[in-house]
Amino acid sequence: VPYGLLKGRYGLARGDLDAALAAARRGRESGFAELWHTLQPAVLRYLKAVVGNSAAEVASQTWLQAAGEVRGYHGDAEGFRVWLFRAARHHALEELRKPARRAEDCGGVASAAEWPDVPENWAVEQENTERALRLIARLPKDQAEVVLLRVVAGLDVSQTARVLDQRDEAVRVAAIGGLRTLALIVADEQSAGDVGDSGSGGGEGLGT
Amino acid sequence: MSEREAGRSEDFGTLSAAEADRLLAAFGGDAHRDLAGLIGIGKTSASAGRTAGAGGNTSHDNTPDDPSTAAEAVGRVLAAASAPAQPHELHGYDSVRRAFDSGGGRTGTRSNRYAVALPLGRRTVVKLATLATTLTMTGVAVAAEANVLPQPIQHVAHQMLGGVGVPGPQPRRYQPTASGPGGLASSANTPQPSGSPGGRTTGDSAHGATPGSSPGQDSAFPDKVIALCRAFTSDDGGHHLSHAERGRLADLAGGESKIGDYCVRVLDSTDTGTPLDPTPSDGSSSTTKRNVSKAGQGKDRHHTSEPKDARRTSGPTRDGRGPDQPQTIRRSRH
Repeated sequence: VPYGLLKGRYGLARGDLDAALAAARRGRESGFAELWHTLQPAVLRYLKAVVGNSAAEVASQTWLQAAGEVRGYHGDAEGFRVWLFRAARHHALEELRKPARRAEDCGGVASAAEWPDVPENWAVEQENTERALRLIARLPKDQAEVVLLRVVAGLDVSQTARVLDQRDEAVRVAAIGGLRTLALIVADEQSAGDVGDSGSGGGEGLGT
Repeated sequence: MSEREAGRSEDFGTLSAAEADRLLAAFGGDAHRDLAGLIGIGKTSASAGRTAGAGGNTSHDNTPDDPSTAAEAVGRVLAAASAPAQPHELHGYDSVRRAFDSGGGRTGTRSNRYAVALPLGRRTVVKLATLATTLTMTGVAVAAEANVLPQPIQHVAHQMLGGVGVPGPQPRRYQPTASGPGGLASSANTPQPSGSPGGRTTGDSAHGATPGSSPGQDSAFPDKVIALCRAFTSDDGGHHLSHAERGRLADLAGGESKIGDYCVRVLDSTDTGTPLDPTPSDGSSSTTKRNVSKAGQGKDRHHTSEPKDARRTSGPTRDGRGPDQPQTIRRSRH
């Protein structure tokens, strides 16, 4: 079982990565592996909301950069998480700037069917996660980014502000606005499910 | 927001700012990821609702319109969005690991090349080859002084340098540094002027007997030999060389184990051998440079991904943060 799985009681593993970072900086692959396994899911989810189907590729670019530069990184693990998401965002913006990019790719969330080899017992949780990300991706972009960085990446207000190059206050406003908007989206989805396809699972929201 | 959603703010989907705050406290940053606690959010939402502003919680009694419903629904979304890692999210580490193992750099083809040619991992090979060079230098000195070559050490060195089959920085680095000791060795007992590989072959004087003694006349290697050596030092370690070709090289080099050294000499003398492998630091710094310059082109040049940058911004943002301070500081940087 990979590192990141089932670490902690609930939610994405956050963990104390200072030791792992220190090891990675000394060139120890085990340390870097722990960084990757702990942070990659959050990076991927964040990127899904920003660049949709290109998330895996952009995440890979992000980590290739991290692999090259982590040895020269000076700072603690919290700082590294900020650095990593800054890098992810940078690569995502580059990706969005590509002229060949089709409009419908933006902000879409890859469907569960695109991911092969998912064990059966993960299907429900995965479906819930995919749907949740899809709902969040429907927020205005600035709100979606803030919500994802706060909730999925687990960054606090000032860390999020550093990733986005915004002021803390702007992050606070966007986060609260994002959640309130999200409530509207969820309610909308819910009622659409009630009216339209009740029983298909769209009604009761995401469950847990 | 669509009109439909805006209309719903009157009834179903109302989430007060205070509830949003509580959700963020529960999920953002150092969260207590406790769903039971989350469900409790709704209980305090009625009193908190007054901060929600116009259109807020006018009807929160026991109905689906109760704001706690909204908080709960959003809480579930956030919980699902931050659910534990799933297996499909942990695919693809291998390429990243190769990049890390190769000392970083923008790997792509380069790391793949190493993955094929150097199963040991690049850093290991660097160490081994450096060690081999050192040992070989020692061997040269010893041979020069005592005229006795530590054969096993030579053999190991040959194995490591020759077996790798890649014109990495080590064999090339060997050449210039070797000229010193090589000169020593040649003054002692070898004829050729450049003499760099002399130490490796002096002891058994196989060197003098090297067919063609081509090492002496640097640029005089036949194209055919150069081609063979290119093949031998190519990415796959020369595995695609035929038996006959390999035998030919072994003849020229004075032994199978000496092909590596021989070819290093050959290719060095042509000066158009396969390109030098970049050192890890080269790779990473060029990556950094590229990203920085790339970032500089766009308006989002704050997003340079240089580690130092993230660190630099951390100071002002974290510490004495006036509302405008971080922004001001960033602006002043460019």
